[in-house]
Amino acid sequence: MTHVTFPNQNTASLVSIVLDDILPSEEMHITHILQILVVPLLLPDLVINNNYLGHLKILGYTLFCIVTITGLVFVSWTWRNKKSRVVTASQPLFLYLIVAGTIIFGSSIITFSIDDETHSIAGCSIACTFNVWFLSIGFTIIFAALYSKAWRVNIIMRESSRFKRVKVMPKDVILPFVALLVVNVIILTTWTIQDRHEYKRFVHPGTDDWNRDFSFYGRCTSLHAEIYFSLILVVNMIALILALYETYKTRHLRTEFNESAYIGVVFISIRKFKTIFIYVRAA
Amino acid sequence: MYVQHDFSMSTNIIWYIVQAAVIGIPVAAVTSDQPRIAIPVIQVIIFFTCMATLLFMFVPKIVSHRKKEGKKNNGRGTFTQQYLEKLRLENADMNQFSSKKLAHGHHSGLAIRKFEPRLITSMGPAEMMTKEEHLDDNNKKVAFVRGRHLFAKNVESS
Repeated sequence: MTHVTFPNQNTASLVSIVLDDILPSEEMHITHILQILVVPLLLPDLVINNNYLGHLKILGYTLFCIVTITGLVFVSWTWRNKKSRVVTASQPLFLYLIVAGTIIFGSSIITFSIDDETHSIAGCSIACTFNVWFLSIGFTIIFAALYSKAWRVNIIMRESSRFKRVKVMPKDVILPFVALLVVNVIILTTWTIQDRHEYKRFVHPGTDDWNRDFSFYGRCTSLHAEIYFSLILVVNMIALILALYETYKTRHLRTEFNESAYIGVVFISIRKFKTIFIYVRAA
Repeated sequence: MYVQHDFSMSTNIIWYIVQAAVIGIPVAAVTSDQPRIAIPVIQVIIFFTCMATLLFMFVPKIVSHRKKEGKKNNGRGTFTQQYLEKLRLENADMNQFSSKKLAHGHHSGLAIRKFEPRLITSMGPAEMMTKEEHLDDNNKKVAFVRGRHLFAKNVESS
């Protein structure tokens, strides 16, 4: 008569009974064995998904080409018509700066396309650094040029309303542009030197049937990214508010001489971009 | 309430909505650990921002510039009109060959039946204006200028 008792012994007892040929006594101790895993000696091949961009890079290159070609076409048009009244009133220097800023800003499309499928990790880390530089410097140039432009229009219109003849040269209003650029460059330089950007690979949660990681992704990391990013954000936000104020003051002028309505939309677009960018980073 | 077009924001608002849709819909599905989604979305956002900046800055200027150029030319006609006027003055006989007459087969004074004159109703840039020379049945050289209308420029003995 065999007695079965739960669950006083572990699987070792059961194994010893089988391997050591111990005859079962009248009393048998049984443990909880809920599942038996049968692991083959040769596991199936591990299919790794590195989440590379692959052919999506072509999208980035195409978009960058469109931005660059459009910018160059507009530069060419401005140059060809530099003596016309419309272009003269629009201050060609600032138009060139806006195009330059746009192309620099758009260059980040290329650096975003770089991953370790076709480049080394060191190369990807450099691309991460350029991402931040292109985005920040491009934004600053576009934005500061728009601000200086609106400010210059304001000065001219204010003085003309007092029946004064005034000549405001670009160099007279370039100071905020330079100041904003210098502040951004200082923050970015400090960020680059003190806290290098690194491209790292992370693993997605979850494993395959044999407990192996199979999905990875790469992204740019930086230890104190939040601090530096906040600094850049604060500096640009202050200037953004000032610029919106300047464009608000010029809202009643004819659009031939200023584009406050359009500039307003541009600001909203840029603001939206930054909000979404922060969201994407945080997600 | 009527809003003057220059200050109307409707176009910009439509643009803004389209932009928001283009950006917002993909972003809803984005997570930062999915580079194949996140990176293209960021690239598209950057692209739209760049294009919005460029187009909003330059297109109104180009349109305004073209309007001004058009006004300048109003007093003396377009390049094509100037050229055709010059042709009219060069050859007084040409006055009787208006495009309508040619199109309806009124060819008084010239034997040009062989050439099936056609009225060209639309015309692109002035550079598209062409000059054609043919010999008619009497071995006379007939020259045409094709543009918005068809004109006989000159008739010479070969």
